Amino acid sequence: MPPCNFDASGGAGRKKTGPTRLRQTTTEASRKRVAQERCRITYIASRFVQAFITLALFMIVLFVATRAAGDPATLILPADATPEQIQAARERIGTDRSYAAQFAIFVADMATLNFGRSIVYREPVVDLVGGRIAASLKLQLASLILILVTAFPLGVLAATRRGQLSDHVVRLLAAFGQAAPSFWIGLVLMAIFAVKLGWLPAGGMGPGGIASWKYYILPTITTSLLLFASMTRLLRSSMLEVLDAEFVKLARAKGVSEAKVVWVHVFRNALLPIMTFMAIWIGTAVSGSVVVEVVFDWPGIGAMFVDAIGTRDFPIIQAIVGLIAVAVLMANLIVDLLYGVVDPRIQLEASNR
Amino acid sequence: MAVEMEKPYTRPISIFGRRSLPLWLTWQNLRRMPLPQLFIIGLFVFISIFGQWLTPMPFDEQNLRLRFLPPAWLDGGDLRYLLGTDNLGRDVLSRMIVGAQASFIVAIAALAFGSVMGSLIGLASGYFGGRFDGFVMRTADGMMAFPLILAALLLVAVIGPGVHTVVIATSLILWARFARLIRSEVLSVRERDFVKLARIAGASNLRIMMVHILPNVLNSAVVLLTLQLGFIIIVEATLSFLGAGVPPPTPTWGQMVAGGRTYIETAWWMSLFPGLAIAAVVLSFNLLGDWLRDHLDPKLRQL
Repeated sequence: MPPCNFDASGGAGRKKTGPTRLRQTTTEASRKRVAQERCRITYIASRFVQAFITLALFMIVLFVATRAAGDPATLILPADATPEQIQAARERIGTDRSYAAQFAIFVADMATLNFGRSIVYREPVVDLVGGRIAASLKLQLASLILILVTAFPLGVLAATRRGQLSDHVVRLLAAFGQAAPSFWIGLVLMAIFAVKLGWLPAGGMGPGGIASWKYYILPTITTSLLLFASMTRLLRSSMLEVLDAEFVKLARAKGVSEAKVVWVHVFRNALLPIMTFMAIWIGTAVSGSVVVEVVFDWPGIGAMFVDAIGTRDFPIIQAIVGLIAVAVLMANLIVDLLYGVVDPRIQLEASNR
Repeated sequence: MAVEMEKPYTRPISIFGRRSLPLWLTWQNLRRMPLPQLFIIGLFVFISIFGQWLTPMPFDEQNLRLRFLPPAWLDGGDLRYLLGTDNLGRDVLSRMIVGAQASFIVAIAALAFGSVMGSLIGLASGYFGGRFDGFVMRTADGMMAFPLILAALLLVAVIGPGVHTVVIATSLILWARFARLIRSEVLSVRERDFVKLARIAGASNLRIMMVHILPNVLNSAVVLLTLQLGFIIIVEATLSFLGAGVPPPTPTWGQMVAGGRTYIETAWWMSLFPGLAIAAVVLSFNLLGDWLRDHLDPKLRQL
């Protein structure tokens, strides 16, 4: 693979540039561009390969985990089933075959969204899970919006007014948001706003449509709190770091307005750590929504997952875990590719690795 | 080419260094310590160890005539039941005191497994590099990206609930965090002159890693360790809340919050106080971690 480091050669080449060497520099630049393009393609391809390998590894783990939990045939049948019945069930499900064959069927089923029937509800898992995805997504979307409109302004505010009252208030709020467990926050909010004051409903999703906005308020706040707190803290510290940089001093020195310095020069550069963080936190957001859905009786897949764990309903468990694994992988892949767009230096470093 | 010598290496203040121990204990340093956090953490540790002998009431004594007693300062409260009683007439305060132990044991065990395993893997990964490094880091990324609660619940479904399940689940995430951090530190330390000199002197890989590199990355590990303690306690409490943690009758804080959920309209104290305890302990660990990081290792600011 060609080395993807151009800084040294590019910088040195330009210094020698005189009128006579202009043409040569142009070809040098175009060669450089071609090499960079090749690096970009290598980078994207390697990310896809990595995502695929991770997915394959994950499938193996999930397969082993669900098989280690016991033979599905004995789980489906009542405890007093005869050996013949068990054998018949095995043949029907396919657990009488070799593990390799079973794994092949398992992967094919996952790929074609054929998750079988729920043990408890006796309905196709695709319908059960599919009917609940929308509720989870709506809640996640609402909380993402809330996080974006609160964490960004507050993080910037805290960084630009370092040491002042507003900074302390924001930091206190963030520290508390990181420390308080979300299931408890949810219950406390419920006790205050639903039970004591009676302003908001205590749970459920409402009749649907715009009329049910009241049902979203408490779950959304609870879901957002942890991510909001971490994001605000991270944004504050990374803003402070960038505020110290030389190019910010230069911008100030040449008379750029303070608002422009903060929002254009500093904020944009402070966003990179936030992106890294988002990639990791997509998983955490899913974990958080499991808890919130349980607390507020939200009819999403998180609550369904907890129920399925309780009843050992493995087809549902498999489907939800697989679904979320794919979602997390795709999100990470997208963030990885976005890095390259936001900061080209990163993809060069990454393909050097 | 001769080995290029860099500036004389001044050792950063290490809490493990021989030289720094007296310095650590001077009055000036002690005065700057975050005392409120240390007090809460000290109390938490003390109660976790000795709590079972300190409860004002037996923690599992049910008294159905004294169900739903409010905290002592409210109307109808009883001074013997300072924070009220639950739906079975058990003393909330006593159960909280005993419940601290579960969090403590899980935190210590998960941290011991996760940090030691993760640090060693990160050390080897950063030191040897290459394919092995790539594989380890991809695995760590995968572990960190996957929703922890989901993985833990899956684990509960497969191997059943209990302390060991919670410990395994949290260690799975922790090792990845430690491995990543330690690896990135090792990458810079291994290029230093003293490592090259040790190699010239004929030290084995193992010796270079354990004697020359490890002490230089331990500061970061300690900072991460403190910052992760709060995280583990929250995870343990969350699993308990979802009914997948340490099973009853052993009380845990998360379980107590869950127990009060049904009675939130009348007996809010059943959920409020255990949750408050979790928040206080986690907040203390986080603040202590922040403080340690600022004093030992400011470059870790983004953890």
